[in-house]
Amino acid sequence: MVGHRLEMKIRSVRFFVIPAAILVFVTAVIPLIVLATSVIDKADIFSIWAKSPVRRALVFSLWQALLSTASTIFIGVIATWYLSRYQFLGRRTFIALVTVPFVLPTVAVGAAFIAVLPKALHHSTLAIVLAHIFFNISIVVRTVSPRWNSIDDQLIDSARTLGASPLQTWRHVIMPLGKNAIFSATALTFFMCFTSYGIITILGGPGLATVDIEIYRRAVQLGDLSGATVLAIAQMLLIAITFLLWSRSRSTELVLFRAQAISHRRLSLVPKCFFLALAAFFTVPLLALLAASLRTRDSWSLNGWKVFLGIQKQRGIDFNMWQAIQTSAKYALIASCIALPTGIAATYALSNRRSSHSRLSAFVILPLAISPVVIGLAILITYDFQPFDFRSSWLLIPVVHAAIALPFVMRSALPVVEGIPNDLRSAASTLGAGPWRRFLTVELPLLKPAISTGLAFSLAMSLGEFGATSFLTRRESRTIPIIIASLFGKAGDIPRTTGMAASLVLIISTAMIVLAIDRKSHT
Amino acid sequence: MKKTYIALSTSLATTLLFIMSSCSSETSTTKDLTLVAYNSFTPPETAFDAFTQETGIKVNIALAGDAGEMVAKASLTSGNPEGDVMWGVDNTLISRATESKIFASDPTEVDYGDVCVNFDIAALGQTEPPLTLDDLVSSDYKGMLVVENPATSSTGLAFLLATVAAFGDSWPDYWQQLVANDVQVVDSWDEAYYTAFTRYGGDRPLAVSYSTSPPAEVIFADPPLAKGSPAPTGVASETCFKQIEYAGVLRGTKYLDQAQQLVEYLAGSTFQALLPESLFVYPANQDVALPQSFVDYAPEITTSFSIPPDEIAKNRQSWTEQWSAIVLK
Repeated sequence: MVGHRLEMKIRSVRFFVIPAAILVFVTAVIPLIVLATSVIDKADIFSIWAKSPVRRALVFSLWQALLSTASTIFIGVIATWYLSRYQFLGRRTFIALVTVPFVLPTVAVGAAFIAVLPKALHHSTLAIVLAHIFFNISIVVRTVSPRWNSIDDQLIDSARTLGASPLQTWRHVIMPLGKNAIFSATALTFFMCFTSYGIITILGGPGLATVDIEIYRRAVQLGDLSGATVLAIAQMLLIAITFLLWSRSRSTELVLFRAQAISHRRLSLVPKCFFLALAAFFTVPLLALLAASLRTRDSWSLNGWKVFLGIQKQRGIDFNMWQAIQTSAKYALIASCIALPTGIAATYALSNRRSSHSRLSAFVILPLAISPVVIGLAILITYDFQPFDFRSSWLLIPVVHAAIALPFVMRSALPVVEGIPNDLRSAASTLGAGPWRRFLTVELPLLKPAISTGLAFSLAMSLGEFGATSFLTRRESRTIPIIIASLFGKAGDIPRTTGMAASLVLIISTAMIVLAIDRKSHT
Repeated sequence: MKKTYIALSTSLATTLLFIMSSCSSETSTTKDLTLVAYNSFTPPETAFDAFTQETGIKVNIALAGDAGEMVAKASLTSGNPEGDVMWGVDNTLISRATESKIFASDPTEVDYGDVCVNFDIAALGQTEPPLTLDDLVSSDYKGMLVVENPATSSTGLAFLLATVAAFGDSWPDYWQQLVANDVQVVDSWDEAYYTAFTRYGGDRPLAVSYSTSPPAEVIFADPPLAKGSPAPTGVASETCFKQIEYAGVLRGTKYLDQAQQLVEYLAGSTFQALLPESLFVYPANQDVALPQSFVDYAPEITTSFSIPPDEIAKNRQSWTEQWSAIVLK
């Protein structure tokens, strides 16, 4: 009886994947098919691979992504372990801090890194790897820590009591429990590094190009839309297939559940030093940015901040900061309102169906996997007829943001959703709770960490998004990143300090939002 | 089961599309015109008030990425454009635009400016500033120049074109000499100006920028310059490439006459007078008097290089590829 009901329940929630599927279809699949059929010259499908810039871009994308991912995962996993198992001063602030780079305008990051790094390291692979760690470590921290948070202390203690060394405990108990989440994080990080754009152009120096940069160069500088689209589709398929194989290969894992709060263990000296170093690594570029917003060539000055806040009028600079903040906030909220329920519903629907889930996660990565230039062009020529002429609709931007945030929401929700024990669901059913009631009273409270992580990711993604937004925006509704880019396009002290101040405001407000969300979800 | 799926997803999709389309129709009433421009199109917010007063037409500005992205978008949607008028296709892109017939009629010249080597007066110290392209390869300026990559930056492309115009077929030799003189290459103007140029903490006193960067430096100086003191940067006035920007009515607009009126307004003296101190370009309209900042601080460029647009379009790819082979080894 119970088994039958559970079966019914699994079937009925399968519909929950539909909104996610629609979002991906509307923002990526349909536009790309339209673009492909209208611009691709068949000859390019084969001949493009013979071009040497394309080959170089492929090789470079691949090896820098491997290197960056390995380093990010290594450092991220160590940090996550301590963050999820130990209580120490500044722990939450640190978690919020590592999420911040996600929204940073690359011009500002580039300026900060270049200010901090010694000259010999500008334009080096090391600089790229460091910047990628800086940008992506939050993916590891945020996807893995909900999983490790939920490991029962008794399990580790029993392993130790039974004579396992700390290393053995780590290998045989802790790692297996976090493996799937680490896998997820690795896939996302690899993908973010593979398609990296701004960091490579600033820190890699000229001549180094990822596939995304080569796509931009073809589409915009050379006017070769056909070649650009072929590359974009190839990159997208490559990423989707990698994701599919990757999620397939995951083994089923033991699900354990723990309701109590984090244990109050204290950090020993070595991890303390590790965290101090890591905190410095994250704060120094931000301090450099703060200094840059106050420093003109000859003196210290608050004028950049005054112009940014609208206290002081400046000839030649005309923007309304409050309106930009409002626009950014509006887009971020709408994007999260779309991405969060959609993503969690889809994860929930397929959490018991591993193969469907891996297919779906390969599918939702599509909007992120397409170069922003190509997706912008594709959307433009797809929705160009009445009544579907969305080109002038502001709603298009938050919808695209939602699609981009979707894979992050799903990936961060998955470990938590899988962590909900089936016994609990069955128990609720046996006691007579209907599917909705069971969802609201039993599962929703347990989903809290997934919701907060997903919300943090989708807000941050939307607040910082530049590529697609810059393509679809209106003068009167510019977001903060768009304003920053136009400030950095003018020569002189004031535009520069104002741009730095705007970047810092973007960072600080994101950090505060993330911090508030985290606090809320832990009380 | 399958059927329910299909029915459900179709209905949801239609609802989503319907909501979006209702939002879009809300914003575009018949009496509005849309002006498509690049992201750095930043005239004062009140720039179109006079036009609206005169004609009753409101102007919306759609930003379309950088100039290259804007032209890529426009070529793709040629005949069914996103807006009614386009601002800012320059002479390096205009051939591509006319080839794909994005304009309803010949576009109008609206502004111009020069891309030139700028120098930081304080950083040069006792060294005499350079004047010509030939100066740049002299050992006096070894390790001093930063340029942008022509494959990714429009200023970089303009500077490459200046050298092609100046040296003809032997331009690759010139670049070889620049490389021997330790030229630095970066991917974008803001990186060249804000990280490599000495004025903002870099170590290169010479940077490829605009001839109007010195007046911008004066207007944006913080603290303001003392009255009568010279601009902090200068321009090597024989290293310049002329950039001309055009505006025109987009083919396929429903409001041909109104759009034409808007183009006339863009080229008219009211709007043109706003250009120097907001976009840092020269007005194409010769009746417009330049503001004092330009009169005092913008150097007069008498000899700038130029290449016919169709020749640029034809050779652009091969020139940038050759350039990459020489400079980015």
